[in-house]
Amino acid sequence: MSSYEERLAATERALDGGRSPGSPRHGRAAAFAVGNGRGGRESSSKRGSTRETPAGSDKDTNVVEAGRQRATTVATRRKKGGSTAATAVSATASAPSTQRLQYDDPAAVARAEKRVVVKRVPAERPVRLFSHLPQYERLSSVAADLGLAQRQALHPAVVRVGLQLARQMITGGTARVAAVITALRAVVVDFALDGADALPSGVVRSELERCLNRHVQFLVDCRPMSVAAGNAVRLLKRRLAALPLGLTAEALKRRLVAELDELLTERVELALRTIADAGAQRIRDGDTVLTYGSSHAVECILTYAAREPRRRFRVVVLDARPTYAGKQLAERLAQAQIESCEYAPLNALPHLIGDANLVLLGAEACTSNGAVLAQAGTASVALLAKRERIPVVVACESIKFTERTMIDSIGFNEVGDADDMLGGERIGPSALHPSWRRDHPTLKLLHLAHDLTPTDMVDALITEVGLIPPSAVPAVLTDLHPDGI
Amino acid sequence: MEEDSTSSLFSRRRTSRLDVSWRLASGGEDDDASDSLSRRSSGRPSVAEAEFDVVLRFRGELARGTPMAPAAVHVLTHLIRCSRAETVLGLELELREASQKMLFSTPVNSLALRAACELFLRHVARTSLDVPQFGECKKRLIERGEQFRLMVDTCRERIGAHGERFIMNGHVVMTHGGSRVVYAILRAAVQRAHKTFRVVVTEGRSLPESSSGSNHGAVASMSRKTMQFCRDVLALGVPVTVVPDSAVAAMMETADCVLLGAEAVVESGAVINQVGSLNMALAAKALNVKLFVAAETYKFARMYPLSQQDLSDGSRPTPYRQLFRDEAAPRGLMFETPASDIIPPHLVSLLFTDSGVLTPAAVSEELIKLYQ
Repeated sequence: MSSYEERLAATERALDGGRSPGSPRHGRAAAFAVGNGRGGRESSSKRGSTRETPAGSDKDTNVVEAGRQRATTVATRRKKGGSTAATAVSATASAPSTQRLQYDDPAAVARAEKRVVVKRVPAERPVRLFSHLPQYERLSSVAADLGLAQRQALHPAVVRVGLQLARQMITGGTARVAAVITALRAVVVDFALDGADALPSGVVRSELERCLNRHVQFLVDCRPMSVAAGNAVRLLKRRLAALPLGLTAEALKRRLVAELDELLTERVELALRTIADAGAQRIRDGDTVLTYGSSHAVECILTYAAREPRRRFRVVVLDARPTYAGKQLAERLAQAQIESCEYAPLNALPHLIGDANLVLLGAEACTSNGAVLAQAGTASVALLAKRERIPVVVACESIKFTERTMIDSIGFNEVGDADDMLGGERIGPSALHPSWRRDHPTLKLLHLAHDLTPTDMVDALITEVGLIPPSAVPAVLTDLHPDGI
Repeated sequence: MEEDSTSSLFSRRRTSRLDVSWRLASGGEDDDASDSLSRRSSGRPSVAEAEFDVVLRFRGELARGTPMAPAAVHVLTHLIRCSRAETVLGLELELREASQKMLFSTPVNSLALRAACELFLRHVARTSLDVPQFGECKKRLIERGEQFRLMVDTCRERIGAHGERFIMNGHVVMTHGGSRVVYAILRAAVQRAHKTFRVVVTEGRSLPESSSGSNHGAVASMSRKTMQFCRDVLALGVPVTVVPDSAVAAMMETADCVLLGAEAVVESGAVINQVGSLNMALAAKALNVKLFVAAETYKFARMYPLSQQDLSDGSRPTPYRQLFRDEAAPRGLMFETPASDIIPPHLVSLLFTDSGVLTPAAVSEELIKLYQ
């Protein structure tokens, strides 16, 4: 599906400020210097820390030695572990972020601070109930730290995607996972190590892994990973660790790039196509489909259905503050020649829900207890649809499935920028003034990105394995990833 | 909204501002594809046709008392045996054609039959991938067909053994539709476990019996299938009471559990069964009576109806006078009934299948395994 590419290109143009509209995204920039003696290898001397320190060339030999030792220990562990690499993998690959960092735990935060590539300013007035989630001030701080990012030898593609994520230029689970995979692919393609041929392949592999970790950490610093992107990164690491030992650096890169391409085509692009096919069949002539926010999968379904002959249907796009994501969807649907497309605020839901005979929603994640994490507001739509006995169908690729169990929207969520809550389209006299922090000392603004729709409000999930009930998420997960994700 | 009196109640949609001609929902989603396929292939003389008549053989199997889905599998297996196709593709085409013929030969749109044919074709495709050598592949398919036959023969016994444990001494079991599987469970409860219980059966009247048959207009109080069921259960020495369909909710108070058969079990865990089952399920839920459904795994269908409307088999309203030969009935009075209804999964307590006792949520897991 190329439209996400187009969107990416559009955001890129916006980022460049129109200076170089056709600049190659994955082009290897001169500033990029992974493994040129600094950055990558240096950090290996301090396990887990990727902070910039003055480079010491005298360390180099020791570092390589240490890396080699580590590689051999890994190798022996692998031999002990038994036949497959998978056992050893779980020891190395599952280490990052199986448990989410609780931001109200100062000790844990202090430990995590050491890993951080780009430091961000914590929110001046965090909301109490959500203090376990990262809450930051507006993202200008990322841009200010860009110099640092460059000194850390980050790949320009990753920096670009990171900034786009941070500035909400890439939104939506599908676009985010696609952007992250594409950026990491560029990192792998451009990964170079001095004298790589002379080094043992174990060292090359661990250097590559460290390099990827650093870039992933940068992306996490810019915006917490979406569930899908987190899954993709975990799959990538697992596949890297599962590659046979003794590959040359070139072969290793080639295999990993192939894995990434496969991940992107099979789990995102082909998945979307299958979902669109399956979903389009459910839309009949004369239907009224109601959707909320902007979901790429929903858009694919609707545009596919519109291409069918003798099938006219009406689409109602609901939307809400502060992101107004649905506006883009409405525009694109109008461009896709859907005859009747309406755009309304979420406030109009009670009135419009009676017209609908299908509620089609997107998702950020589907949990193993069948609940659906999606853009805030989705739960209200599902609730009202359930009350009116209208089928609620959620379109979601299986890369968004998570083994996590969620029962409310508090434990796992994302707190957006408080200042987004101020105005909307027009700041009327009743709107909060940007100086609200000074004017109202006790006021706190909560911009919650997602909410959780309980499993009994969802009638079906459209995934690339077909229509399934939400209770089948764990079955699909064990089917796709027999040894965990 | 203006209603045409001859259009089905099920075709009525919620008010929409778009003026479109309503498409009458037909059987299922893949109808268009299969229709065009059968139309395309009907012009071409089939190779296997010379060997034997698919429909004739299918009817023969049915006459022997084989349920529809296994009968179809037997016919398809036999077709493979005497097919002269030399490629997997040719074989698949023949099988597809044969399944279409069987589907059209039945008066009602049988979901179990459709599911069985689909599963069989799926199995052929998968085997052909596993075993690229055609002769070998054919042999494997025939073997599997025979295995399936053996499996089906013992299917009901196994369901009986699983389900029998849920019937207690002194229970009143309510049932609807006269399912053979339900009978197998009752028989197991009597003959294996020597339990004593009572059975309440509904009349199961949805259409005047054999509205297309010879005794047109004669309104039988009970369907033939239900009558046969009652006769069999009585022969076990179990007291049977018949109640009218309208008394289901009132009689539910006396029941300890409800036991139903199924036409098909769909991916969401919903159960499709003879019309009237939903009434019983709703009444059971309201009065906190457990609802059990007995179904063979070959009735698990890869479909996902979201509402009763998705199932609508194109049932059209018929003039009441004409249908019932009742001259006293006013003109313009219409009669309509769907053949089956959907029991949503939250009304079903447990499913008794030959692969064990399942919750409705486990159905999709089984289906994923089946169609993998």
